[in-house]
Amino acid sequence: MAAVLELATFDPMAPVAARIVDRWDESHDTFSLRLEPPEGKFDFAPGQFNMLYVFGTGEVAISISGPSSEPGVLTHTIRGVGSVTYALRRLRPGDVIGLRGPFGNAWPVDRAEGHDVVVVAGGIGLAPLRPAIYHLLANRERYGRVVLVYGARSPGDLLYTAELQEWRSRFDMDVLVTVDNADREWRGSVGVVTKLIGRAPFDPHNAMALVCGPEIMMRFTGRELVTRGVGESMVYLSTERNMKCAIGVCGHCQYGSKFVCRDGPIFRYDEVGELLEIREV
Amino acid sequence: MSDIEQQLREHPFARGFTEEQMARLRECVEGEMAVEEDEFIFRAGGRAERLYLVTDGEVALEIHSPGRPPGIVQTVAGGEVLGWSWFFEPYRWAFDARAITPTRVIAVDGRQMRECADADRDLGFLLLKRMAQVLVDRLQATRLQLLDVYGSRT
Repeated sequence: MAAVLELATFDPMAPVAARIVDRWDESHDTFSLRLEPPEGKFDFAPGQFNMLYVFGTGEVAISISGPSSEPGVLTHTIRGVGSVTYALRRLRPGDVIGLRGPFGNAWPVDRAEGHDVVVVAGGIGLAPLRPAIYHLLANRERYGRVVLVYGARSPGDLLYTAELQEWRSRFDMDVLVTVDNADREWRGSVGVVTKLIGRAPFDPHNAMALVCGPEIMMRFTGRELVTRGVGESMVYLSTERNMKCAIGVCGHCQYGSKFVCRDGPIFRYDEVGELLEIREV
Repeated sequence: MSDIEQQLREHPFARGFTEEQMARLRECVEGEMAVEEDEFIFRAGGRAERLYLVTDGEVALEIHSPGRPPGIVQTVAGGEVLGWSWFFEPYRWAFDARAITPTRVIAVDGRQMRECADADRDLGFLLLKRMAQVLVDRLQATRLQLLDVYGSRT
């Protein structure tokens, strides 16, 4: 009876109010918001996203970037690229936004158990991968080698720099970072992220790859991973399309025969690899 | 087997070489070089007389222009080939190569290598394919960098 009542009252299209409790800049154009979860807690799985609604401006799909093991903390990392994200950027602690979610499927962290895990992130693509990294590290004994390969536009565009440093200092994780452009102040790699895959220490025949970034980057990364010997069904990509309803009704995020919001956003490479090559999709 | 020969065999550049081709390559090796951090291996405009096989560390390819700080075009790490200008006329380096970490390279005499390639067309074709692969990889990487994929919405 209670379940029926819950079904009757739950409306996935109706946002609930969520207060911003903290806000900080991650880079010159990217910031994070920490929200007070409605009813004090918010359960989600790594890789899922929420719809954030700025009253009077609009709604946007944003991945959850904080740890799923702490349901009392709800963090989103956002890059200012459009009217809604610019409006989100202007908000301050104490302001209230609308929240719907969580939506979408999750990174297959359970299926990855027993395997090496290669996390390949490009730009703000690190944000939806971060909850998966937290999970891998919190359950470190369940996985083989854990490698993060991260590419960004420039050193100033790198996200979570303190955490990158912390992860880099761990003995049970390898972190490879590259940027597309740099001056001499930068002491690390320069070049595209795909180039680092060949340097990453993992067994391609026993590895799972979790990939998120611009679609072009994912297309080349997918090819490179498969060329290196990673099985197509072991490569997972988090895709992005313009999402509106987030429940597979409106059709805005149609991706071939799938809806990104309902069937994704995470797909196996053997499911969507060909779609990545089709310009009309 | 000497240490340098072992490193040559393990380097991806020499993968698939026959014993005879490996012997030719070995004859052209000048030696192994240890390069300090921030030390230049070559500079733009200089004569490109060597092929460098990076075995450890990382090297930045840099371009400089007056009044501006040098920009890093790309970095080359262990297992990769540093420089192709030794293979193509006019045999001049196009960029500076500066080690950004302590680095080890195997230096190969470029002129001697070219002579070997001219004398042994099978080896020449193999070298051409290897250098073409290096060029293709760098060209594709450069195109992706030029696209500025992280500059647009992800």
